[in-house]
Amino acid sequence: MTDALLWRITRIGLAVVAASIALFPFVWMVRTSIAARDSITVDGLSPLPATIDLSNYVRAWEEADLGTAMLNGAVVTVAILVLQMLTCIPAAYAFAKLPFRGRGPLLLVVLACLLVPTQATALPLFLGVSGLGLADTLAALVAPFATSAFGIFLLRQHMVTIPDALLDAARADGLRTLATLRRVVVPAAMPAIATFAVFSIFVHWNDYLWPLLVARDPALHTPPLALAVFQQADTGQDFGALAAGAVIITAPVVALFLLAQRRFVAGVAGGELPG
Amino acid sequence: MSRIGIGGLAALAATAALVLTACGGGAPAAGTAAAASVTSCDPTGVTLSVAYAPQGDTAVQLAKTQLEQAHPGLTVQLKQSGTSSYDQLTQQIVADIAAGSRPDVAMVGLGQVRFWVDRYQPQPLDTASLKQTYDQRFLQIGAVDGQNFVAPFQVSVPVLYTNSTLTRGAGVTAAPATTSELLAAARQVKAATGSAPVQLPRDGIADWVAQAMIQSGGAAFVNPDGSPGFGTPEGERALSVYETLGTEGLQDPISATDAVTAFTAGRLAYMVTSPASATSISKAVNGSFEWTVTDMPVPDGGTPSLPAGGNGWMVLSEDPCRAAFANELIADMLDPEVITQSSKAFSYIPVDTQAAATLAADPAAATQVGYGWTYTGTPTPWGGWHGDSTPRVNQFLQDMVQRLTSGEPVATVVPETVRRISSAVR
Amino acid sequence: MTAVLERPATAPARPRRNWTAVALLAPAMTLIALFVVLPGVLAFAGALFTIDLTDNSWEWAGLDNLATVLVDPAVQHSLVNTLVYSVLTIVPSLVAGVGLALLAQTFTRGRSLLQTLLFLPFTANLVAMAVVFRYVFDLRGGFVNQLLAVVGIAPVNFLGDTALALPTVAAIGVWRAAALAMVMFLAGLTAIPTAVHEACAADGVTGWTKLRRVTLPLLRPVTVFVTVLTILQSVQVFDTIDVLTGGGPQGATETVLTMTWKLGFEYYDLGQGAALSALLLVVLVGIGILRRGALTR
Repeated sequence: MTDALLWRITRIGLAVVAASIALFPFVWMVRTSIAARDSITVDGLSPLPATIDLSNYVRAWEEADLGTAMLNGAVVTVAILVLQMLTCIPAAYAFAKLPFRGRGPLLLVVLACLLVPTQATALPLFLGVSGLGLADTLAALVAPFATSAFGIFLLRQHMVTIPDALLDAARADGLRTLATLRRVVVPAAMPAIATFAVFSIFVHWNDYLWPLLVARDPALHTPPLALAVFQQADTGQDFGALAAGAVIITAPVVALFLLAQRRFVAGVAGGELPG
Repeated sequence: MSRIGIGGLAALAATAALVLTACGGGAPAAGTAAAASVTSCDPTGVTLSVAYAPQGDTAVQLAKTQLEQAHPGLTVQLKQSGTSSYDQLTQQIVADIAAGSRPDVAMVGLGQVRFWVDRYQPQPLDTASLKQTYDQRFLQIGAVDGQNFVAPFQVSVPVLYTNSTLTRGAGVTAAPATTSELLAAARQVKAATGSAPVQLPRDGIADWVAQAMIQSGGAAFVNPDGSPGFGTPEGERALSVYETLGTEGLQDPISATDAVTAFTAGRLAYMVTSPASATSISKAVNGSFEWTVTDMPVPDGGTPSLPAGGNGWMVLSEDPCRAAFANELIADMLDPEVITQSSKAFSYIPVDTQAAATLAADPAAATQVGYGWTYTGTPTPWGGWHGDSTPRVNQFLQDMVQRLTSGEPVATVVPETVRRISSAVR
Repeated sequence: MTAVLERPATAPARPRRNWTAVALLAPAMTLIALFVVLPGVLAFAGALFTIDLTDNSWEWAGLDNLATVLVDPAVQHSLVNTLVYSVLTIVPSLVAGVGLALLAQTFTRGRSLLQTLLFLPFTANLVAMAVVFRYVFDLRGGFVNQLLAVVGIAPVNFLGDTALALPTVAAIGVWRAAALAMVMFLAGLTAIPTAVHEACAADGVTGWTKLRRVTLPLLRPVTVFVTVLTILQSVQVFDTIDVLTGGGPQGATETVLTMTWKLGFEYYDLGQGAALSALLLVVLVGIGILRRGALTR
């Protein structure tokens, strides 16, 4: 009994400590976002600034044109997500469950792609994209990420664990490959798919280097590019507006993550063995 | 299995390399001809492209309207960068040119003039097309070997920000004019407050302020042959202020951004940076203490010789007629009204005499943001390292400043830095 | 029970037509070839050339770039830093990740909230976070130093000291990487069929025994994946350092990728930048070949 109580206290304690460390910088981000310009940098350990001023949000929204940027960000992120799902799920399934000649070497190529840092390929990719006349278009922001070696590998690692009995049963029911994918594999791999979706959304929503290179037109700016307005090298930074902007652009994706968590739970049922 | 994969990659790589050499080898070097006369050029169907950072937007928008009205049929295409950093702006334009889209007019950081001239053969600037009121004393900061290439637009020189509430509290009333006055005042302030009172930039624009110290101390920054000129007794004496700040604990080893934060929080007595920050600092301080913007202290016995920061416009057109239109566009962007507005927004030094007169009459001219408006000195070119060595050299200069302000002696750090730079520019 | 615990065989004997696999793989493989392999090959081939961006000319340089890069003290510094950073981040991120995932699993009430909180670090916009972290670790008046002052410790220059900057950046790296690892492990844990838990409960297998004998073995494919990802994130660290320190002070936080970026995109020496990233790739491929059994099983 006391053991159970002790364990309960320990894990709650651990959870509180871990959550505090994770949360702490965000508290300061929010603090900065609601601080008046002259009280942002004033010392103190209090999580609330001396003067609360919401004008940072107004400035962030208007000066950075965050409305347009968030719309662009949403279009780009969703387009990338959909394309990645359409290309990665079938490929991962093939790697996990379909025997074919050259599967090992091809998987190694996919793995090797994980090793290629995007910073190294940025310039050739930019030259290629420009050569195709795609510079300064939404397509240039999406196309290079239409599939993901990372996604294929992640999903493949999960699909390997899907019991063959499940697939055999589907086949016995007369399902074709695509139907099997949709009705058996996708539900069974849902935790992994949700994980990858979350990863993809956050990575591309926050991506900075590539959009900086290809999206020059302010009408194409994605959220992180829009925020750069408040980081003027020459003329000083506007911390309050930067923090407010960061809160504005982080909130919707975090809300999305809260929703996506249901998929993690839903995945359990699909992953269960029949009978 | 994996060996096959890698072998295949290698073969592919070799093929691609061959194709590239075959294609790239014959590309002609960018040729330049002098700008033609606008009157002899047909504007129909001409599209001029301008690459610039957001701080130039007002000027570009205005000039676009004027030029398109003056020459029906001509279109000005705007390529605004998402970044206000001149290094990143340069990266983008370099990438654009590599991808085959060379802008006609580009904004360049004044520290990169020589890089552009040495690497990309811009058109010489047609100074005759500039407005009558353009302040000629600024032209030389955009010149290389006597030839004008860049029309300076938003110009600044390093200045001293002082929290006078703090310094007066420590009994210091006069603004320091020399580095030894700065050090004496700093010691006094430190004795009163207990914390390090000075910040000379240790990153970002570290090279800019170091150049100001070196030149003002009577040493050459770059020798005519391109080698570093400050490995001399004058140079070492000019840079010794950094060492003293380090050894006596008068400057904390923090970043330039953190220095601004410390200043606006009222914790820092003295800071050297660009006057262009005055507007944003003014908003952040919001009257919580008194502060001033004055001349940067120079080494004892020296005379101010300050490099020009900021940006200017450059013509990259390869066709004489396009170059002529590009020059006219630049003239429009340097309109007195535009200069007045940008100086008001960012407290830059006005490069137009009419704008300067307007600004001098403005009530705000007497405040901190007015320092640049009434600046009468003549800045020198910034940097000037040959070829594409500038970014590397700036890294070495930054390392030098960081080592000195950490207390390492001038006698070892400066010769070492000179050696590193010499091998990079060779 | 045993049927569940056994890893399913990957290659059933049933013969299958190849074209199904081809059709499933074609879109992804085409895109990978176009957007990763081709630019990658070009980028790495660049290591053998002196590339002039002004006219796109490639001049054969053989191994000159590699030789120059290897004797460059700044590059050597970045190689050592990358190794130190990896040592400081990989294992802590994995341990924290799996620990947090297991911890979150023990909660029924408030689990969703806890997971979200723990995942927050990965959602951060780095540019804004950099501002916060610079404040948190600021020498004067920064949060950590104010806390240290309360217990009487002199201020520490976390990001400005050449000896401390790398560990500080690594701590921030773990803060982020552990959040991602946790989510991956959670997905793996959730995928464990409830039948397993029921079987364990029936057999009286609980606590450490269950963790070591049942849970961790079942997590193996996920673990392989998360490990690979964490190693890559550490060795290829770029964003965090780029926004926090830019590689400074005096190269103390310069890593292979920030150095690659500097060589290629700031110094415009694409050949040297390519040589350094090719070197990194060779090392990683080497590790990958040594451990390929674990990766493709």
